[in-house]
Amino acid sequence: MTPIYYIQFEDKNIDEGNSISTLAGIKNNFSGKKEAIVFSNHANEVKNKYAQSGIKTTIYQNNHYELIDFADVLSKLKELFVNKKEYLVVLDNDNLGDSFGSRLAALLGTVFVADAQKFSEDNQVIVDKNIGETQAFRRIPLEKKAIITIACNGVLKKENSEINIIDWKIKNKENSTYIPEENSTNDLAYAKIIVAGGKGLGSAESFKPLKKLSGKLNASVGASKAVTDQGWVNSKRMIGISNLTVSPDVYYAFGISGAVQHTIGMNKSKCIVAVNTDKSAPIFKLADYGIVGDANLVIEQLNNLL
Amino acid sequence: MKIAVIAKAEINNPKTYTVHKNKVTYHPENLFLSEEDKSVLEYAVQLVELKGGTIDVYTFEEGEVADRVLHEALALGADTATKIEAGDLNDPLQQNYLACKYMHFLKEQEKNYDLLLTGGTAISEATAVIAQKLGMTYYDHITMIDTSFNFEMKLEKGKITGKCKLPAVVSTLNAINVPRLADFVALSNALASNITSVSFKGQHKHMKSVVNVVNGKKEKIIFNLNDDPQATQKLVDALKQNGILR
Repeated sequence: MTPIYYIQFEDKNIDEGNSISTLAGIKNNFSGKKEAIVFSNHANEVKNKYAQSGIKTTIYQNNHYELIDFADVLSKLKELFVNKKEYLVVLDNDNLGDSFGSRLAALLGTVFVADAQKFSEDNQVIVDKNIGETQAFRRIPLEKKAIITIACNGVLKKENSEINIIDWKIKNKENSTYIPEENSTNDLAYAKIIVAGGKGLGSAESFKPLKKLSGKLNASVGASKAVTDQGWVNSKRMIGISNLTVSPDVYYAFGISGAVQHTIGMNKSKCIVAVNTDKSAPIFKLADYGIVGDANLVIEQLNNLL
Repeated sequence: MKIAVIAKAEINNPKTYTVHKNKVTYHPENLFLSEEDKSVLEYAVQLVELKGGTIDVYTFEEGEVADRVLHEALALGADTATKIEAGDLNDPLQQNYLACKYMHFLKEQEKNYDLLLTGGTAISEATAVIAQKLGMTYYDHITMIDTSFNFEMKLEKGKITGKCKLPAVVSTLNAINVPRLADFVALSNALASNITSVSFKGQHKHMKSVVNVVNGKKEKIIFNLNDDPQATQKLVDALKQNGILR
């Protein structure tokens, strides 16, 4: 089995490039030997997160590290991988992952596949990559050394793992600046998994089990306008035309009928799971999976099952 | 300024490949110069208008698509057009090889570009390789670049801003401006212009990826809790089976 190396970035000032959900997805999706490689400026604060991931982790620590220090990270990664005979380096499927992946592949002279969709790893790792918006995809058999970006989510079960913290020197500080977006502190805007509740949940109290479920799924909690208007949930968590537009990998809609004012804010989700008592509710037209039934009961059952 | 543009067709167009049963059909007649590449060409034209210089356009597209893309680029302001017949730059397994060959070609021709531009990020590895081998600085996922070379690179929750160090390879994330339309005279002249063909010696010996069909239309999986008390368990099983929940 090809060993898997997952690259993460932990800059205490810039919340990008560190997805615990992807870490869990990699742990559960790939069968080979796995290791996380983390570049950080606050290793002592993040080490517990990785110590409970079940994946051996090496943290390269420098107090002056910033996410924009691309050259130093790439230089370190080159040093780590240049003499390895076999590896699959995995990065998050986002702009940062793509950028690092392509640069590292260029340095190492290996294949880079951005936005890999599916993979299989019997004797050889094979990934699929969709061709734009067409109904076709490329099937790409990877060589022994390859770099991919992939979106895979999972729920992390607490499991102790080996953590190594290594001091690391930074030589080339980049002459550029990171500017966060207006919504950058709102976890919901960038969540990979969202559990959203609608008026069908009935009361503010019903959002407590939903929050418990969000913890089990590594998800962020969202709501429809009907809910935030009632004051059951903070208005910053409203998904729809009047506030946030989201595009997570998985969107769970509980007690949401699917009015267009709401769906316009979530219809780009990759997978939609809907639960509603009304089988003719518009949300089921968008849903990939669903249950016709009481959302509160389904949330309770999911909390027991997961 | 010496500027090169790697031009590509609009591969993301859903009409590029059509699917019937298990057969994929490729439609070159639907392929034109991509919006992102039109946009970087417009940027190159603005730079040349301001600082003087030349714009050379290259494409790795094949046959009639290459001719169409290059004619469009010439009509939009490129000075020379070159068709490179070497392989499929959209195939991740060929990108490294093609980028190395292209880099050698540029070195042999002593092109020494100040700026190499390409729109979209579909060929990101190729552009990263070209930048690395030619010792040029690499900027990708660019959403803004001005004629003073100030740039913005888009990340998920913010952006990196700075000033490009030339010589540089710049790959944009999407259209960075609204390109001017070519007039009829430019189109007519472009159609009469010469397109240079270059083929790299040797063949790519490594594996190639295969274009395949996405299996069928996704079916909805909806359970009814009123009829089936095990509906939630079945939903969890279905989500786990299809990799949605792990």
